[in-house]
Amino acid sequence: MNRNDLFKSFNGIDEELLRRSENVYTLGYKYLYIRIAVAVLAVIVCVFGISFLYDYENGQKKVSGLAMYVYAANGERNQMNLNELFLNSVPNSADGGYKFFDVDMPLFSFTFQSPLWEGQRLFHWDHTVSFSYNGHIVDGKDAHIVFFHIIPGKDQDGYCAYEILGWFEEPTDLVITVYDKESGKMLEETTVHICYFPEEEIYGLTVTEVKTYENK
Amino acid sequence: MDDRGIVALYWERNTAAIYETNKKYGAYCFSVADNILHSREDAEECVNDTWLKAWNAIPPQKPIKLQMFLAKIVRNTAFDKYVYRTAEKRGGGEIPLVLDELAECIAGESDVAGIYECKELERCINQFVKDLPQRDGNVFLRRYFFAESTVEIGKRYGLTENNVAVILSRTRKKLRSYLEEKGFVDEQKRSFQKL
Repeated sequence: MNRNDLFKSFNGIDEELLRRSENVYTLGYKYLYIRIAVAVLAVIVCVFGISFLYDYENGQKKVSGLAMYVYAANGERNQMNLNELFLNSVPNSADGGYKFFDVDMPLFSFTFQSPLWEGQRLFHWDHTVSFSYNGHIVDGKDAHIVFFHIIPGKDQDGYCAYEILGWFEEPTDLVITVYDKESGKMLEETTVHICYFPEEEIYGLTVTEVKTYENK
Repeated sequence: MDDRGIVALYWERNTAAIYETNKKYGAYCFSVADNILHSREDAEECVNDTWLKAWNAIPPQKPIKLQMFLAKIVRNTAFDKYVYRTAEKRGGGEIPLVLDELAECIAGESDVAGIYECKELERCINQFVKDLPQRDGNVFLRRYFFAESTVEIGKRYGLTENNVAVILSRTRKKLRSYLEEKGFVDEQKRSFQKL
């Protein structure tokens, strides 16, 4: 037997084995597909990340969003995603959390605090925050807002949070506006859509728009 | 047309069988031949010879996997042409390398001769490839049946060229041991020839 004979002897290979070798998907191509999937995912993340971070409104750059913390009825704090989320409604009863006035609707309670923005948190003691809905500024004397206030205490950076408690019978857009206390310049404006789901007795809260402006 | 339909044409002795075969597998058979011959004209001639051989083989044969059936015919035809051409010192391509690599597995002459032993060798090679892990078996076949280059094999399976070379080297060593075990290669004679 010489090498030519050995080469020819491969003609005895089963045709099924030969056919199997034609299939490019059985071997390293699965890793190629994984690499392609990772690359596509990276592109999607970059596109969304860039579009989220960089948007221009009236010539100003939007640079950040809003993080929300929700206080459950048991006092546990959980950070919610910047998407539609459901809050634990606080029933208006003696066994529940709060009891203010004669309120037929369950109350919502949520807390707003913002992430770091260019090394500086919003909702700072140097900031003023206003809440408004339907063009009406919330001043704690509203029929539907029980109270809003700065959560007592602040961290070493002067960061603070706002808590708002109230109820809405109709779907409502709540606008949270943050101003620089010294210059009065608007820093961030967040629109939160709130609606009540009577079957579940809970509120749905959706951040529909966030606009953040450079403090120049 | 599917393979069953084409084979049926052969059995009906309908010359449309050649047309359909060429239409479906002409390019494939050309690439198998070209891998061995590395010459367009010779590969085309080889493919035409393949159609005639297929016509003569079917019937009585009734291949289920027509593509691989044709691959074997064209490979054999191409290799015979290569051997003839090599005697006239023409051509190139991967085949010289492929044959040199296979020579490692036998390292010289053996006592194997005759049709029965050749058939037995074919059976053993088939069993050897079947027993290999799927990846190694596929790489081995692409190299020593289809005479593809290590670059082409790497591209086909998403492997590096170095990875392919390592797989082939290891598998050749396994084949050498296997052929010794089966008695196709005399270990003592090989050792003597080394001296």
